Amino acid sequence: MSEEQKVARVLVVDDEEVVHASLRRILSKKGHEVVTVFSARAALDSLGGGERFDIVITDLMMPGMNGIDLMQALRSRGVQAPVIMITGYPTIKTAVQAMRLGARDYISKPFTRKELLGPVLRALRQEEAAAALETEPAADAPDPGSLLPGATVYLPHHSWARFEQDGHFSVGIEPSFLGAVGPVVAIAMVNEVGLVEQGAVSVRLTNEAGEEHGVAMPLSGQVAAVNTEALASPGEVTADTWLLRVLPSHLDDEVGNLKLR
Amino acid sequence: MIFESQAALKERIEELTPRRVYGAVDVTEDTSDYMSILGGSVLRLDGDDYFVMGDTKEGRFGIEDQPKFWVKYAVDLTSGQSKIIKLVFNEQFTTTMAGIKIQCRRNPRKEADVLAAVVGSPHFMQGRSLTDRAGNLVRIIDFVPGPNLFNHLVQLDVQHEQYFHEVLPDLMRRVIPAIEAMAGLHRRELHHGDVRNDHLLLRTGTTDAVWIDFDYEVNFSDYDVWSMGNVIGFIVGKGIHTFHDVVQHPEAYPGPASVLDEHDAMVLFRNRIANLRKLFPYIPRELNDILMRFSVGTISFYDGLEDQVADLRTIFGE
Repeated sequence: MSEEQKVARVLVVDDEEVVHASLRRILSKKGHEVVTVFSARAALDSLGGGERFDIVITDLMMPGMNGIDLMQALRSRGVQAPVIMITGYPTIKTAVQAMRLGARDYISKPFTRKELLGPVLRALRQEEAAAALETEPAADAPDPGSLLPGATVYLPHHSWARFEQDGHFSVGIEPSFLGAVGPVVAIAMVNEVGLVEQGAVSVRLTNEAGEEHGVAMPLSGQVAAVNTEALASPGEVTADTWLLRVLPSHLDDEVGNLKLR
Repeated sequence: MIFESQAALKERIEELTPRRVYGAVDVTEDTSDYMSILGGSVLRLDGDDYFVMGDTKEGRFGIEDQPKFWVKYAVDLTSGQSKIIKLVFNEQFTTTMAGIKIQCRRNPRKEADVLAAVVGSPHFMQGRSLTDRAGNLVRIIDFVPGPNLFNHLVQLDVQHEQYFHEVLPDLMRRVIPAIEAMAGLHRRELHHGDVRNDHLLLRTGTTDAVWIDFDYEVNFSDYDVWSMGNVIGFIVGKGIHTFHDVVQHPEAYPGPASVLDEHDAMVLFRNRIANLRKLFPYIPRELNDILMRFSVGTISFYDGLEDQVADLRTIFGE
């Protein structure tokens, strides 16, 4: 995935002017175009009028329609732009609800510039990765039923997954990705050991220049093991090194997005 | 009371503790530099002298014990009672749980407020707060004898099925009143902030379970409600069971590991399994349903601890 900055159109939905000003200041500095509205209804009107946005950032608690209702309304109207939820009253319950409905991130106020920009950049990159997947020819996509232990599938330019005898997939990094990054000095998991998601960045490499590069995962599922030795010796990681072992959760649905080696 | 002379201090220390005093006793009234307050010294706070025995330690999940330099074992030289003295340690960090960032910080004022609110409750550590000469908010905590829940369960040398039938019911009946007490704390708009297995002590010689350590403050108002699921799951499972455990040691589980999926994970710790009935098929559905309300797949969220208590009581009784 390119680390180049993509310029995006961002719709900000919040009933507080001070939040509009804050988000506009942070996102405009990165070159993004920011449109602000004060209510979910106004957001729907804007989108219904044919406007297109790359990302929607919405407050959770607003008079009238709240952020979760807005997200559901967007999806029911076919608007697939990633949604980032922000709230001044964070609860685990609303976070789980929001993420389950497809919110890309859930940010509690007050947030720092970095805490906002991280999720925005990630959402943009994920959209790019998804678009890249859609444009890949499907001719050599493997048939899930014919996938045998030992077979390797890969997410082009990111990562590969090898079907192991015990039902797990070992996951490593594609040679083209490693080649583009150059000498690696650090490897880190983006989140705690847990779930990984196809197309989402779960491993981050840092190269000698100090640049960070996120590796998108080939499959969604539960992480059963992490190769801690590899993480401790980043300079020795090659395209053959496994980094994670994943118990896939949506193999049948996702394998069609991959290519067979 | 204050022991004004070195001779009086020496005599009292040697009377109450096994320590022998050979030189002058260092007396500290400003606790700002907690690292320099060593075992063998005396803290003089709010008109009382406390003899410092040493730093407390915290060890979890096989990690070697880490000293907590800001928390001292001490003896109240007036009463002779063991105390834990918590000094001001400003720590703030962000952690990621359930895919969301949670801000945590230690807040001595919040712990002092909880201490004041739970006076007399057998289910919370007891103590008082005071300010030292430099204005630091110090908490003087009564020592609670007994193992924490984590150590208690990992040291039990019985198979899960035997544990489940013979140990769990009484243990759960011991813990439910502590959860209920926490619900009472929430009604007063206060929170624990760090509900976990090693913050619940089983007081020796009683049937009380006692919550300790209230200084963490998190920015999610229902964090206690969800983290209580980890405690309940820990008790039912007689420990933590991760997907990694099941894959590496399927023979340790009577249930078929192959039927697990991602919806069986705990919301807060997604490497842990909430759906323990898949691992231990003799866990009744009603109990497993409680655990599943803390799972990634849940559609029925607990809004408060009262509901958890009510559901647990339908299974384990009053």
